[in-house]
Amino acid sequence: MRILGVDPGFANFGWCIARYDGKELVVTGCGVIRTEKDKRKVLAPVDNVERMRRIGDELEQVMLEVSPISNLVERRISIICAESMSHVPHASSAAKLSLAWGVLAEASRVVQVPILQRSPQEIKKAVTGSKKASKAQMKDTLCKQFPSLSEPLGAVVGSLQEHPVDALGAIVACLKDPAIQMGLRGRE
Amino acid sequence: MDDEGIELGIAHEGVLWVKSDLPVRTIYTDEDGADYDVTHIRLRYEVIEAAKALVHEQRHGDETSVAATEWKLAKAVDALEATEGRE
Repeated sequence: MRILGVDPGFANFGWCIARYDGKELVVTGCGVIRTEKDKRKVLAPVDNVERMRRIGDELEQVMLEVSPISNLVERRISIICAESMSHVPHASSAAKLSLAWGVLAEASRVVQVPILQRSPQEIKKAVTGSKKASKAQMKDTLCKQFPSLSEPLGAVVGSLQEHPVDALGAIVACLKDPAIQMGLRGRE
Repeated sequence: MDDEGIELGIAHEGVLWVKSDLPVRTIYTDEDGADYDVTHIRLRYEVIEAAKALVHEQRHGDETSVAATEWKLAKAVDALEATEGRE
């Protein structure tokens, strides 16, 4: 089963792909989709649409594993696990975050894959045992537990690593979800 | 679904945040004790829906339908951003 974990954001959209057979979880890739505000004098709605398009295009590439030889889609994801939208303190930040969620929601509809959501606290608890774990604790715990994370995470700029880490955390927090368990049974 | 018939927060399938026509600016307190303003959450949901519709139209629609959904999205974002300071 191929699972996509996401930490949705408008400027930094973290993702992580993992393979899961019911026993072992192996990270096969992770990264951050980045968009920046256009520094030229561009109307905000126009800029937002362009940034959404960039997130959508890159997310599509992440979701479909394309064979470098045949150029055909080899494997699709089975499920999306997401860090749910927390209560963002500023309306403008909430609006930007909602744009990223809209792109994700449409992507999940297109590939007909459900989104499982877990709150940041649930994710921290599932990974470290504590709802109040720091970002460093999350990263250390996941790197120890999943050695396959280290290589793809090493390709991500240090200050952005928290996003794929949270995306993997979302996967870990969802592993016992009936949707994943049923998906595994369906493959037996 | 809480006592007032407001369903919000984490939906395990899809992205549904508020399913209700119930009172505006109702404060809902979740199990962690955080307060959520239902109006604010509803406005966020509307932005998510408008963004989702725009991505769809960009792939399947024509110039007119894309322009219409872009306009709806801009209005939804404006409505949410107008609550700045009142969240």
